[in-house]
Amino acid sequence: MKYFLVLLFFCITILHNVSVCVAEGDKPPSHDPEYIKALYLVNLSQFISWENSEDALKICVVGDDALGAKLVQITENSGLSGALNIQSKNLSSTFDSCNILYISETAEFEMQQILYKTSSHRSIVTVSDVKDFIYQKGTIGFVSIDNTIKIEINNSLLKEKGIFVNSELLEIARRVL
Amino acid sequence: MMAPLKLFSKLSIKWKIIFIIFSVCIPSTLVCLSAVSYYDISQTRQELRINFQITTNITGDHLSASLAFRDLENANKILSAFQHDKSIKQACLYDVEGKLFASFFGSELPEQSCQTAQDGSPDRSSNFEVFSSTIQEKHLQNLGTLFVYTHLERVSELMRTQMFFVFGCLLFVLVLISFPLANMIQKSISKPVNDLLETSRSIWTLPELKTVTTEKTDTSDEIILILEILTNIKSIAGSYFENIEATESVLVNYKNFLDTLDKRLKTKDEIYESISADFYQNNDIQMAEYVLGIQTVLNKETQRFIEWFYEAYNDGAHILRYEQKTSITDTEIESMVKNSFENLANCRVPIMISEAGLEWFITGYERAMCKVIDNISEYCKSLMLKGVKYQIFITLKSSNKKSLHFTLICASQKNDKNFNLEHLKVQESYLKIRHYNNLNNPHPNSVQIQQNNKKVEVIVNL
Repeated sequence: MKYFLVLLFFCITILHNVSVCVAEGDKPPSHDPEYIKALYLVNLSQFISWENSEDALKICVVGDDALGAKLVQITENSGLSGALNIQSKNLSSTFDSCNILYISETAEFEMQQILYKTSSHRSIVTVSDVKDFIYQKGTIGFVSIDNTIKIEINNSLLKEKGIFVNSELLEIARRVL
Repeated sequence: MMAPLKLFSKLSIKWKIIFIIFSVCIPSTLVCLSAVSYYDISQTRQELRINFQITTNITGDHLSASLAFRDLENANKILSAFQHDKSIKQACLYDVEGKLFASFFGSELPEQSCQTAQDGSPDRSSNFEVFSSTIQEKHLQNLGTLFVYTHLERVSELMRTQMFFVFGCLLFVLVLISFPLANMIQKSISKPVNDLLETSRSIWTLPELKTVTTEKTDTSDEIILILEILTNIKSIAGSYFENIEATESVLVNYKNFLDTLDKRLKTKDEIYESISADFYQNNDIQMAEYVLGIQTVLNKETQRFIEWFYEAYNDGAHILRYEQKTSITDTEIESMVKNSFENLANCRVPIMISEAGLEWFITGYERAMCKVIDNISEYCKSLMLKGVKYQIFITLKSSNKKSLHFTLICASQKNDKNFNLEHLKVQESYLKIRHYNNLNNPHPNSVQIQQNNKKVEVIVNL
C-alpha cells in the first residue's frame, strides 16, 4: 500500500509535468526565430502563386527537422493542414513534388548541389536563411536585422520560373532583385 | 392671429399681391429645399459609409503582408494614407490574437489611443462610426482586423453649411426675380382699380364737393377707399336730389299760381257781360257814375294785382332761397315766418268778400293771408323732404277775443297740406281782418313765435 501511494504520487507528478509541457507547447513561442521562420514559410505559401498549383502545397525542409515540426504545429493550429503538406528532405531526396523548399543554414555546404537539382524544376521556390541567398540562385532569403527577420526576394528568377509573388510581399521585402 | 390679418386687410392691392406671391413661393421653396437637403444628406451619408467600407477593405488587403510578416513600418506607412481624409479620426490594426499591431490617429483627435480589447473588438460606444475589415490571404482566413473610426457628423455639418449657402443664394435670387415679377403682375391686376380710384378722387376733389368733410380711414385698400368715396358721393347726390325736388315743388307752386292767375283774370267780354245789363237800364248820370265806379274798381284791381304779384314774387324768391339750402336754422325759421306776417300787415288793399253759391272767393288781403299759409306749407314740405317732422300752430287773435287757428303738421311726405280751413271760421276771421285794416289798428300785427321741440307756435295779434 505504501509503495502504491508512492507510485500514485509519482504518476500524478509525471502526468502534471506532461500536461504542463503540452500546454506550453501549444502556445506559439513568438520570440523563437525558428518559430518565426516556420510561420513565415507558412505565410509565404499564401502570398505566392504557382502556374500549375495543386490543391495542397508542399513545403519541404532540408537540414532542420525542428523547423519541420514547428511547421506541422503551425499548420495544424491555423487550420491549414489540409492546404499545406510538410515534408522533411535530405540531400539524396528528390524535390520534384516540393513547392517551397527551405534549406536550413546548417545545410549551407549542400546548398549549391540542392539548388542545382532544383534548377530544372520550375515550380520550386527555394527559401533559406543563408547569407546572400538570393545572389546564389536562390529565390527568397531570410535576413535577420535588429532581431527581426526580413525577407529578400529574387523576383526576376521567380518570374523566370513562372511564379508570381504578391505585390504586398514585394512591398515589405527588404531587397528585391 | 387677428392682428396680422387686420394689418393685411389694410394693405394696398399691390402689396397684397406681392405678399401673396411671396407667401406662396418662399414656403414652397423652403419645403422643397428641405426635402431635397434631407434626401441629399442621407444619400451622401449612405454613399460615404459604402466608400469608407471599401476604403477599409482595400487598406486591409494591403495590410495583409505587413501583418503576416510582422512589418510594423510598412503597416504604419499604409495606415498613414488615411491622413488625407479628415473624416477618418483613427485606424487601429489588430493581429489575430487581438493585440494592437499598428495605429493611425488624425491630428484633430485629442485622445490618441486605440481600445485594446482581449477579443480584438474596439469600444463602439463613442460618437464615431466604425468600419472594420477582417484581413485574410488565401487560406489564412484571419490575419487580423482593421478598425477605421470616422466622424461622419463633420461631413453632415459641411453639407448643412452648403445647404444654408445654397438656400441663401436661392432666396436672394427668388427675391430678385419674384419682386419685379410680382410688381408686373400686380400692375396688370390693380391698374383698373387704381384708375377707378384716381377717377373717384378727382370727382371727390371737385370744388362743388369741397365743403363736405368725411372721416378719414387708415386703410390703403383701394377698393375700400373707392367704396368710401362712392358712399360720400351718394350722400351728396341724395342731398342734391332733395334740393332739386324741393325746387321742383316750388316751381310747381309757381305754375299753380300762374294757372290760378290765368283763371281769375277776367276777359274783356266777361267784364262787358257783367256790366251790360245794368248799363242799359240806368240813366246817363247813373251810367256815368257807374262807369266811373267801374274804372275806379279796375284801377284799384290793377294796382292791387301788381302789388300782390310783387309780394308773391318776393315770397317765392325768399322761399326758393331757403329751399335750396340743405338745412335751415331756427333763427332762419323765425325770420321767415315774421317776414311773411309783416308782408301781411303791410297789405293795405281794401278787402272784398264775395260769395257765389257755396264757393268762397278770397281776394286782396285774404289772398295775402293764404299766401302766407302757402309759404309756410311749402316750407313744411321742404322740411319734410329733409326728413324733419315739424308742427306749426298759427293763431290769429282778434280784438274781440275771437281767434282763428291753423295747424300745419309736417309729418308725412305724402300729404301736401295737412291743415283744414273751415269755411265758417274763415268767413268770420276774414271779416275781422278787414275790420282791423279799415280801422288802422294802433297795434299792427304783432307776431310771436315760440319754438319748442319741433313745434313752432305762431301767434298773430290782430
